[in-house]
Amino acid sequence: MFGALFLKECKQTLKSPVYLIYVVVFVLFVNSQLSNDGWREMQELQEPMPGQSYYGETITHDKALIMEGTLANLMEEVSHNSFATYPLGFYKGVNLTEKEMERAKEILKQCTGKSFETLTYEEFQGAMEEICRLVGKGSSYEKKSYENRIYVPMTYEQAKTEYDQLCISDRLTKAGMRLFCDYAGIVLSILPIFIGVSRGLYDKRAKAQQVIFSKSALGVKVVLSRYLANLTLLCLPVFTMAFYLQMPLYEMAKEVGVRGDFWAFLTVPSVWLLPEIMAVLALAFLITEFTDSILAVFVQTVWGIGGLFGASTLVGDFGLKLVARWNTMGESALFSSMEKELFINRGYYAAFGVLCVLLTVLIYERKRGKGEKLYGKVRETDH
Amino acid sequence: MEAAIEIRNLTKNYGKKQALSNVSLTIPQGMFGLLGPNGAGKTTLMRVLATLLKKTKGEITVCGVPIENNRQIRSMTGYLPQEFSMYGNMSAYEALDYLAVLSGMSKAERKVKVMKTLERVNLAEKKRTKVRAMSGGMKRRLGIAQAIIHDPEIIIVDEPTAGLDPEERIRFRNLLCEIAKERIVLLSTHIVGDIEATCENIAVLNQGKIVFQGKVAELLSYVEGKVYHVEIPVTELERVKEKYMVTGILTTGTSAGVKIIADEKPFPQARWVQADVEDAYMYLMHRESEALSVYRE
Repeated sequence: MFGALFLKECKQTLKSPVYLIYVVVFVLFVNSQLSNDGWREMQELQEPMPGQSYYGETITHDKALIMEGTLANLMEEVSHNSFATYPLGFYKGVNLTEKEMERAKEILKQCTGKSFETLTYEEFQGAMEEICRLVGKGSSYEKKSYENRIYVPMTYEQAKTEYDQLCISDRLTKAGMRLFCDYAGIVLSILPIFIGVSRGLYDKRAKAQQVIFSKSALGVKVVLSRYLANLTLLCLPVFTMAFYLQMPLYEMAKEVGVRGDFWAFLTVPSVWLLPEIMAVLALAFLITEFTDSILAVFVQTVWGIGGLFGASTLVGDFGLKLVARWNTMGESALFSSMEKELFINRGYYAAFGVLCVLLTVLIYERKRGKGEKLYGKVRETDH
Repeated sequence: MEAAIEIRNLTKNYGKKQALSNVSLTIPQGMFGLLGPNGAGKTTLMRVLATLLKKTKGEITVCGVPIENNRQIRSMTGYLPQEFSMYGNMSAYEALDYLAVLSGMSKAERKVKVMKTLERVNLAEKKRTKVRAMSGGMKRRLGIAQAIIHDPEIIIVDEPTAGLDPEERIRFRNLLCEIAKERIVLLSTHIVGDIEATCENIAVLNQGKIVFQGKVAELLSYVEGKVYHVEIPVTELERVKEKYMVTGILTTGTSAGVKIIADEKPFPQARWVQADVEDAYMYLMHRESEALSVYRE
């Protein structure tokens, strides 16, 4: 019975205009983002040779450069008394009071009045912590931010190491799929909401709720078949696009003598994007079942955008953010060091998705025995 | 298994509002009519029986199965709600097949029964018609098809003929009578004609209470010898309506033929006529409202 129900739900979703819009928006968005320079460079990958004028850029972990870059940024923001912060993912310009400005200038003076040889990293960190207290959360002076945002040109050795890692540990396709997941993850933090809300309200809109409630099928079967059908169809264009975008990389890998990972189009998005889709869709199901409204669209859009802008860097800083960013091609060593953090993040969202589905089942069954409404007054015409 | 629905002291409250009050009812096999004005509690009772609402107090058994056994009750019940519809983009066949899956039917069963049931409700030729393109009558027929497809012991139909044209209404009533053989069909309506044409046993619900339960003939006996027809001048109409219970008026020019229910002959020229269920129902409701007003005073 479950299989038949699942297939029927898939058919229903395929016929839905909301699903069609989802596919079009997803494909256009990912296509537009992956036609950028980085993706093209990837497809024209060449082994770096000594004597080249430019080898690309990389995030530096050189403390002196981090201090230099961060203090230069601080000087500019102090001079304009305008500090960019992203406390909840959204831009918030902060202007300090006269007293605070005096203190900020004093901190800047303390740091820049010394040569970089005499300014220790600990002193610098202490100064930045004080700046953070003045300007509030989400500024460029938070440790995880300034340590991951200063780019420097790569040396030949760095470029060669990066190239080797790209070919050996990432087998090219994995690195490409990480970048694909970065872009796809942005749009997938929002789009599944519409599919979930649309399905959640469909019975009510079609005036089919009462008759479906009266059938003997268990709530868990009804909800799960709907959820899995929607999840499958949401994943369909994701994996299709991943496959389509991976093919040129796979071919190119052959050309440079690397055995590309053919299954990267399945494995990387499965770890990176599937938990995100699961969580977003499940929460949309839950909120819609609970409220019988489109509230999820507003709540989850804010959540999605917050998750997108909440990261202090576009590469890493996974934490428990909904959108896991990796807006770079390669950086394999850095990724390896953060892989565990990503797994924890994705595991959390997968578990969150499962929990939301279970709660949706409970609410569905409760509504079934309470006459559609969980709360509120019963209309006169109801009896 | 006992083929009856037994309801004992059923009460259903919506917050402070009492929708059903101490209802006790036995619904035997065959067509059973539940009559009552709008807001009497009919839909509430239907939903409680279809396990879509939880009772506040009382006991209900359906063919011996306590109502608390939701899943078992649902598998033995077919329910046609007052406002039945399905997904507009589904065809009649797809909608019925989908609901048959939800009723736990296997693929092999569905293959045979979906088409057979569509034939039974005269929708076989319209099997590809989308639900959104169906007329009210077609939708009700699809509704009854989904209620009977899994061969339930009990069929609950809530105001099935409301909004249908006379031809569709008669066709639908006949269909209900056909499927009522060897089953319990509980028909709720505020249209007295539907009950008169189809049910032998009825109950009348008013303000959440059962005010009559028995055979149609028993209800008719309430007004036996009390229904009169009289021709009066149109100018007398208002005065007559104030004094007597009028259940029918036919105006022709300056005179009007009036059907009156009265304990004694209202006018010397009045002649006694055969009472129908509508007269009996009106009499009953009038008596109930008078009793209620005396109680309130």
